[in-house]
Amino acid sequence: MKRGSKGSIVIIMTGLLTQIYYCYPWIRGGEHTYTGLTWLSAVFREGGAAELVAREFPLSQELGGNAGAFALQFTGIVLAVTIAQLLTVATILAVFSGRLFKLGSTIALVLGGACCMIIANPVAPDGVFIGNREILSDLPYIYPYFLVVAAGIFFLVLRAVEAWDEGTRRMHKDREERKAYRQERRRRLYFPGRYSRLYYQILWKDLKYRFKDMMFLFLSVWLSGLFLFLGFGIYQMFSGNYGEDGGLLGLGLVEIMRDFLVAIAFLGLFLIIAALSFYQKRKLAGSGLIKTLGIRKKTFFWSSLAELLGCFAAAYLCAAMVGTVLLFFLRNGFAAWMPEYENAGFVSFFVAGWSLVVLALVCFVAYLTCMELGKGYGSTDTRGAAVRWEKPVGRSAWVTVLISVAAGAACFAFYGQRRMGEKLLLVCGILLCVMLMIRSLWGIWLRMRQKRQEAFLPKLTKEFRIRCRFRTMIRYMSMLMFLNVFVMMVFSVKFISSQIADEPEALYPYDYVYLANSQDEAYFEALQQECEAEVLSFPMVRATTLDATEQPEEDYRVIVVQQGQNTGISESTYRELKKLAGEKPRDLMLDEAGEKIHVVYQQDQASKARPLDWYLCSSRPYVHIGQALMGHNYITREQTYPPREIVSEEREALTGAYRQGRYENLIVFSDTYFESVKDCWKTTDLLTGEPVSEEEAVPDVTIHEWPTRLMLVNVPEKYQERADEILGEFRKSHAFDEAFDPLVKSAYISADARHQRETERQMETIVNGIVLLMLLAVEIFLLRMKMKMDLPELRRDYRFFEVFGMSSAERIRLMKREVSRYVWVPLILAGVISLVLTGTVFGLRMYEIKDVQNYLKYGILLWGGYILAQAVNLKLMQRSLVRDLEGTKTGRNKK
Amino acid sequence: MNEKYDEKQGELVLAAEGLIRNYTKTGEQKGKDEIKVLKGLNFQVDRQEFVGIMGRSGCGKTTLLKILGMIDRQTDGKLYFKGSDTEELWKDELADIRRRDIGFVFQDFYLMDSLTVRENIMLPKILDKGTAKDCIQKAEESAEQFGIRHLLDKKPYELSGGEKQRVAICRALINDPELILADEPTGNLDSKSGDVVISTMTEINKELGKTIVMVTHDPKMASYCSRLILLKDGVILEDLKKEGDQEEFYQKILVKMKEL
Repeated sequence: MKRGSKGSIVIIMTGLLTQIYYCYPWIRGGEHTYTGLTWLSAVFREGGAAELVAREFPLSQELGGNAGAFALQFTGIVLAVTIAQLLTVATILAVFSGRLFKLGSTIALVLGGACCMIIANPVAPDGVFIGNREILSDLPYIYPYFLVVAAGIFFLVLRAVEAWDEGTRRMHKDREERKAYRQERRRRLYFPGRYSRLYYQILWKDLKYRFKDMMFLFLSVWLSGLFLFLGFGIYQMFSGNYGEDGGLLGLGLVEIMRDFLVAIAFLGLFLIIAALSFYQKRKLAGSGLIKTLGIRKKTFFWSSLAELLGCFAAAYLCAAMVGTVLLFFLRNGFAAWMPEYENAGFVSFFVAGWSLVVLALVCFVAYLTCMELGKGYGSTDTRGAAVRWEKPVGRSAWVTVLISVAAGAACFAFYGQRRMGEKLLLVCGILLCVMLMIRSLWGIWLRMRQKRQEAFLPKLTKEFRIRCRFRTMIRYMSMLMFLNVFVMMVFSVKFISSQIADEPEALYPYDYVYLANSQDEAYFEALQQECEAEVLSFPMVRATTLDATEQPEEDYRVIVVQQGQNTGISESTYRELKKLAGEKPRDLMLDEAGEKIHVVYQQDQASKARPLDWYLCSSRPYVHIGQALMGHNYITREQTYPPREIVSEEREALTGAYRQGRYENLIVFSDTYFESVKDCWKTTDLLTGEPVSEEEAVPDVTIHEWPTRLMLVNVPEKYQERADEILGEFRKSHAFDEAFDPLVKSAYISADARHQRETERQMETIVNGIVLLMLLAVEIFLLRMKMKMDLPELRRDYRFFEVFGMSSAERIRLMKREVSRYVWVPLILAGVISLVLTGTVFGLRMYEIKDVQNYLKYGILLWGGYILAQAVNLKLMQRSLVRDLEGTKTGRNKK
Repeated sequence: MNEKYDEKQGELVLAAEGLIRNYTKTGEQKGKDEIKVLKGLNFQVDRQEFVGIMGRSGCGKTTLLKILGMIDRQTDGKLYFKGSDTEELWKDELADIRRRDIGFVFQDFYLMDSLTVRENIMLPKILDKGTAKDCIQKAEESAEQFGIRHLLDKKPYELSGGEKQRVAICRALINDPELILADEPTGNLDSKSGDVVISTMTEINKELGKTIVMVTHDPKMASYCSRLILLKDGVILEDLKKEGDQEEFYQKILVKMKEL
C-alpha cells in the first residue's frame, strides 16, 4: 500500500472512525462507567474479574456458582473488543508505514463474530431465571454485538481498497502494455513520407486498363440507382394524394411502388454482387502482384475502396440526373393526360436521400458478400484464383435441401393465407428456398455424375463450364429467376387484375351510402321530399378492428391510430342485401355469442387480399363493437376487442367497394348477438370502450351514438346536385365520426368513387406497364452483362476446342447452349413458380371461373410477349457471341 | 532461435526449422484428409549463396519458395529471415520485407499489362514511397544494366519471353534487396533466352552479391548454383554443395536426379 495514496487515506479515515465505537464508555457498572481498556485495567487493579463484576453488576451474584464463569465470560468479551481495537490501531499504523496488515482486520472481524456468540448464550443454568441481559443491563449487553459491524466495516473497506488498488494497478499495467505495444508498432511499422505522383498515376492507369470491367459495375449500380430513384419519385408523387381531398386516392399505386422498390432492392443486390465479384476476380491478378511486391495493407484497402466508392458515387450521380429528367417528363405527361394529376407531388430531397440510402445499403451488403466470397483465395499469390474451380456443394447439401424444402413450404403455406396479405417478402422467401434447393440438388447431381465417368465424359464439352463455374452460374440463374417471377407473377398479377376487374359501375350499387344514427332522420326526410330519393334503412353497428395498417406493431400494447373501421350487420340484413343484389344468400353458421362471423370483403379483383385485422397477423381478428378507441388497456384487450372466428367469407360489393377491402367491409353477426349489441353505445365509454353506468352516461362526453343505421339511397339524376348538398350537411354534423381516419367517411357518393376507381385503374395500368418494361430491361442487361463477363474465358476455351479439332458446327452449337442455358432454365423455373403462386392469388382473392378465364386471356398475351422478347434477345446474343468467338475465322474459312 | 544461428546471424539470410505445409482438400474439414506438401524441412541459406531447389513436379518446390518469400504461411515449423522469426512479424512487416529485402522472379513473369515496362520496373520503388525522380532514375539505371533500356516505353505484351524475364529481374532488383527468389525463371523460355537469364542471375549473385534461391527442374540451370537442395515428396533428399567446376556439378546432379 503506497503511503499517502487515496486508498491508504480511506483506510486510515475508516479506522479512525471505528475508534469512536471502541473508545465509547459502554460498560455501565453500578459505580463507574468503563471503556474496554479501562475495564481491563480495573480488573488488573482489583486483582480479578470476579470481584469487579460482583461490584459493578451485583445481580450476577444470583448466579451462585456460575458467577465466576460469568465474570470471566464478560471480561473475555471486553478483551475481544479491546484486541479488535488494538488490531485496528495496528492496521492504521501499518498503513502509515506503507504496508497492508490484512490479518488485523480479519482477526477483529472473527472476534466480533465470537462476541456475538458468547454474549447471546447466558451462562446461567436451567432453572435460574436471569441471563446476561438482566445482569448487564441493555447497553453493555447490546454493545458487543456491534463489534462485528465496526470490525466488518473496517474489514470490507480494507478489502475494497485492496481490490480497487489491484484493479488500478492492472489497469495501469494494461495501459502501459498498450502504450508499449503502440510504440512498438509505431517503431516497427515506421514508414514515413508520402507516395509520389507515380503511385496515383499507376493506380489510374491500371483503372483505365480495367475500365471495361468497371463499366459493368458502374452500369449495375447506375441501373439499380436509377430504378430506385424512379421508384421513390413515383412513390412520392402518388403518396401525396393520400385522403379523398387529394384528387386521387392513389393507395394502389403507392402499394405498387412499394413492391417495386422491394423488388429493385433485391435485384440490385444480386446485380451488384454479380458485377462486383466479377470485377474483383478480374482485378485479382494485378492486386495479387501488388500485394506480393509489398504494398501496405491499409494503403491497399484505401486505394481499392476509393476506386469502388468513386464508381458508386459516379453511377449514383448519373442515375439521379437521368432519374430527375425522366421523372420530370413523367410528371408532366401525367398532368397533361390526366388533369387530376396537377396535385402530384414534386421530386424532392426525399427521393434523392432515400434512394441514396437504400443504394448505399445495397452496395454495402454486396461489398460484404463479395469480401466473404473472396476470402477463399487465402494466399497473397492470387494468380490462380481467377481460374480456380468453384466448389459445387458442400457436405451438408442434403441438409440444405431439407431445410429449404421445409422453409419454402412454410413460406408457401403462409402466403396462401389471407392474414399475410399477399406479402412480397414471402414470395422472396419462397424464391430463396427454391434457389437453395436447386443449387443443392444440381450440385449433388453433378457430384454423382462426375463419379460415373462413363456418363460424364461424353457430355464433358457440354458441362465442363457448369462444373467449374457452378456457384456463379447458380447465382446468376437465381437472379434471373427472381426477375422472371417478378415479371410473370408479382407485377403480372397487378397489371392483369386491374384489366379484368369488374367495371366500376358494378362496384357501387347505390348512389349514396350513409352511416347514420337516430338523430339524422331530418336528412333522409329531406332527401325523400326534395330529391324523390328511394331510401333503404338497415340497422348497423360500427365494427372496429385493432389495426388497419400493414406495418408491424412497434409496441403491441399501444393503440394503433388507424384502426380498421367496418360495418357490422345482422344476418337478416345480410340476407336482404343479398336479395337486393339479386343473389342467393349463403347459409351462415353463426353463433349467438357473436364469436363466429361472416365477412364480406367489399373489393374488386384488382385489390389484394387483405386480412380484416392486421394486428399481429392473427388468424382471429379482434373486433370491437363501436368506433375506434383512443385509449386501450392491452391487458383487458380481449374484452374491448374480442377475438372472433371467421367461419365464412366472400368478396362482393353489397353496399359499395368504397375502400377496396381496407375499410368498410361488412361483418355479419348472428341476429341474436346483433340485437344484444346494437344499443351498447349507450353503455360504452367512447374513449376506452369500458362499460359506463347509466348515471355516468353523458352523450358526447362519456358516450357517443356511433352509426347505427346503414342508409342506402338512390336518387334520380336530376336531383343529385341537391342530394350532394344534403350529404355535405350530413357530413358536417358527423365530423366526429370522420375524425378517426382521413379515409373513413360518414357518407359516400358512388359517382365520385366510380370516377376515382377508373382513374386509379388507368394509373395502375400505366405504372405497372412501366415497371414491367423496366424489369424486362434489367433482364436483358443482366444477360448481356453475363455474356460479356464470360467472353474472355469462353474465347480461351473455344480456341482450345478449335485447336483440338472440334468442328465449327459443334462449337457454335455449344456456344449457343452457353447462352440459352441462362434464358430457358430460369424461365422454366419461374414459369412453374409463377403458375403456382398465381393460382394461390386466385384463391386468396376468391376469383370465380370467369375471372380466371379472363386472367388467362391477358396472361397468355403478357407471358407470350415476355417470352418472345426473351427469345429474340437470346437469338441476338447467340449471334453476337458466335460472331465474337468465330467471326474472323469464319470469314477466313469462307475465303 | 538457437545459439548456432546466433553465432552466424550476420551471415544467415534464411533458416528453416521443421517447416511443414499442409493443404486441406476442398470440402474437407481442417486437419482431416490433408495433403502434406512439406514434411518438416530444415536448412539455412547464407548470405551471397546461390541455392537451387530441385525436385519432381508436385514435390513442393514452389510451395517452399512461396513460404520463403512470405507470400504463404507454413502450417508448422519456423522460418527465420535475417534472424527474425517470421511468425512473430506483423503482416505489414512481412509486406515491408517483401518490398525491401526480397526480389521476386516468376516463371510467368507476372508483369502488369496495364503498365509500361518502365512502370513495371519502378513499381516496388513506388510502393516504397520513393520519389518520382529516384524511381525513374533507378529504373533507367537498372534497364541499362540489363540491356533493356530501349524497351522502357513498351507494354509487356509487346516483349519476348526473355525480355519480359529481364524486366522482371530489373523489377526484383530495384529496391536493392538482400534476397532474390526465383521460381523457374527459365521455365517459359527457349534455351537461348534461358541462357541469358541464368547468366544474368549468376551475375547478380557474383557481382552484386545478392543471395539467390532458385527453383528449377532443369539440371543445366541448377548447375549454375553454388548449392542444390533436392526435394522428394516434401522432404530434403540431399543438400549438394558445388565442389569443382560446373560440368562436374552438372554430372553429379544428373546422377542424383535418377534418385528423385
